[in-house]
Amino acid sequence: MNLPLIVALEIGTTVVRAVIGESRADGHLMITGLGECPSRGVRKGEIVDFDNAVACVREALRLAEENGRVIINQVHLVVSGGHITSLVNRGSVPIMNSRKEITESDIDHVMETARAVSLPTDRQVLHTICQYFHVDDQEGVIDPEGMEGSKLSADMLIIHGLLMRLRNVVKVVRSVQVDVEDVAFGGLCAALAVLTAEDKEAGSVVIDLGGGTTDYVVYAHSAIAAAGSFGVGGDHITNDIARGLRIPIAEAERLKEEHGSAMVEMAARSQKVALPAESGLAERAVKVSDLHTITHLRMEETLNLVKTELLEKNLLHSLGGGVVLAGGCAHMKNIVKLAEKVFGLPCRVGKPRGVAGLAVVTEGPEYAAIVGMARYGLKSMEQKERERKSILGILKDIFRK
Amino acid sequence: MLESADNVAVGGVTKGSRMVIVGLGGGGCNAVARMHAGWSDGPVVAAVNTDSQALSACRVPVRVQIGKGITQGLGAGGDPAVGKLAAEDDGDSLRELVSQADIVVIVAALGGGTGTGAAPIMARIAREQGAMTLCFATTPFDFEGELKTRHAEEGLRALRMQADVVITLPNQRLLELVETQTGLVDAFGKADVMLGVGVRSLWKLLSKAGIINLDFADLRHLVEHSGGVCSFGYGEGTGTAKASVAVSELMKSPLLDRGRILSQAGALMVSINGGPDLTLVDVQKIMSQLTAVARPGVKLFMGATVDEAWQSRLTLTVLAAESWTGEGDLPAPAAGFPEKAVEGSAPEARTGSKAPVSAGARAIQPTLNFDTGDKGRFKNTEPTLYAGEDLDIPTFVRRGIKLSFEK
Repeated sequence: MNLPLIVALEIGTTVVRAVIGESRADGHLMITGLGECPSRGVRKGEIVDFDNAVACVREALRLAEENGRVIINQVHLVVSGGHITSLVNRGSVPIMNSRKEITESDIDHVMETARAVSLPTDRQVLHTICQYFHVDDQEGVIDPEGMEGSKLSADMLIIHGLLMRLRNVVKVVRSVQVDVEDVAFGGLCAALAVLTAEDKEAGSVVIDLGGGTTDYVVYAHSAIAAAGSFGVGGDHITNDIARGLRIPIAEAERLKEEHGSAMVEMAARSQKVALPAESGLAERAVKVSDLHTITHLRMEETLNLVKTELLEKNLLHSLGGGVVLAGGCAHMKNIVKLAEKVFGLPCRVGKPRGVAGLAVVTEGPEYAAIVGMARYGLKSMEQKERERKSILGILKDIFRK
Repeated sequence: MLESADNVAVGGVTKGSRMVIVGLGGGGCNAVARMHAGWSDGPVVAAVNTDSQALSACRVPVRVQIGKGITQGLGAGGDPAVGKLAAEDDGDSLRELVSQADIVVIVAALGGGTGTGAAPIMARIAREQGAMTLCFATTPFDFEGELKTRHAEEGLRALRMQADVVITLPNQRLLELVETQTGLVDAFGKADVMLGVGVRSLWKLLSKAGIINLDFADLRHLVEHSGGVCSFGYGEGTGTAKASVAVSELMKSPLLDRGRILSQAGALMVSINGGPDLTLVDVQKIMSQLTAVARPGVKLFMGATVDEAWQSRLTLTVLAAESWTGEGDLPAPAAGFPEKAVEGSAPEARTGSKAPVSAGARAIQPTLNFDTGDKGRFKNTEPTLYAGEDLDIPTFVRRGIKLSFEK
């Protein structure tokens, strides 16, 4: 087979999943295999129990290998965690040649300068994404090649995380004798999977409501303006329910999935849900209004965390495309309504785009990050083949178009 | 000119502190008029404006027109410089207005001419007269335009230099309080009501003998160490669960940025206002919920008053100072508490409520229990901290919201 195969792996807080994808002639991503294993040993997107995490990864990869009928040697890894954050770094270079015309090498040079950011030693750069160029006083230039000026600057979004945490995730994968070809931030992957070119043009925020973390990526003025992650997710909702209603975690999880709601539903206020009698616990009923109060408050708070970031970075008014939700918690009832209320923007649940193959993968918002990773991996592999040297090309292709 | 200066020295101010409330400019006058209309007793209320027509429409006991020679009885036309000149011109009348006062509360809507320009002058005059000067200032809605916002910012800066403490109420935050269908008049009215509540509770706190006393010295102490920037929050509850309702309303209030300011504050002044049915358990419940949210080691002042007419009703007012510069011990606001507690309360109730009421280190113990007990499956993970809150603790617990089956 001459078409490149790609394996994306996500060690999530709820599920460890692996998908196998291949590039189709029409540019779509074809999913040919899927392996999933309930996650153990991961909290808030980070490894807390190494051995359990390794066992889950082994199982997920085995299932994917069976399902896709391939042998997996290397994976593209999705990473997340509350430690991941971003900053914008500006680099400038003088234009030296006599005609003051900006050449490709000037662009390479300025990007190199902007990329060279000094971070504390315990932090590791995950992505460097060029936002804009500036030629002298002219701000927001998309492609400066051929323009004239005396100074060229570039704004680079640097997404970075804690080195040891990232290393630990990679180490888990290496423990099952599989190579990690590349790592990418889950929020970025989700954005790649669910946003259309128009969304990016108009400005959008993608919020990946995962089990352990809530990742976000903001597109404004056709560039990635901000990205980050909070260590709060669906696990917290389950925990809140368990603590609030004094029921076991498993029961809380079931209640959340079947009856949880991001808004308190007036119609269901007086209804009750029966909890089955279980090992020593007597049968009892919980009020739907209590359940909704707990889930609503948590979801509202979580979305407000992202809103606060947008307000602080002054981006809330640049989001004509609105809010796109992904991740498992995007399944929660009334989540779109709540997000519209919190942000005052149009909102929708994002499904992975441009994918074919297994129906579960192409339909569910929880697959956004892993499908995005597969696409990201494919594109960067193809790109690497085509123009090994020009990093600019990759960035333009992946993050702009 | 003073229209009825004889009212200045009187007023229902007790406990040795006289308070004068001065509304400045159109917005300030509207606010004090509304306040005054709702009160049967209270401190002296005065309105100060350049616009004679607006002033005469303002139903308060004392009215002072300023800048007659400058604006010919018209408004300041949105120019703070005119407001400033007007106040300087009639400095004598303003001085007379506050000459007998221990506390001067200035109420102004910043962004316009008179309020923005005259408020810093008024504050300076009041301080020169030896009064402690507090200023409640609203800042404009975003839709009122950039110019107004800029004026307000400049006014606020000047005010912070002159007044002992400035309590800002961003109108924009009030937008979250009102329904989308709310009319313009109602929106501004809501701002006035909020101002009224703040001033009223402050007055009550300082002038009524409380079961747990909070006095002028405490307020002065808070003001002196707060760096002059305070936020104000308010919650009200009725019925059997009034304490929890009041706390959750306070936490949800956009005035304190949904509890965020509370969790970041360096010092808090908490005033609990209840009816005869206010119990020590209520007080304890409120204070333990607040200390659970607040920063560990926060300087806490608290007071409780009882209003005979308030059956099963409770209001909670909080002044939150963003920073705290004081060191060492406070004049121990809680030290006198057990002695002053309601007569007939059992000794064990006293000791029981002592811990959460006291400030700082003394409150840490119950807070700690609270945390570990509620983290559940996140007990052994690194806590997710955000703006001083531990997000691993259920949101409803941090917001102090009671579930129905617990009631």
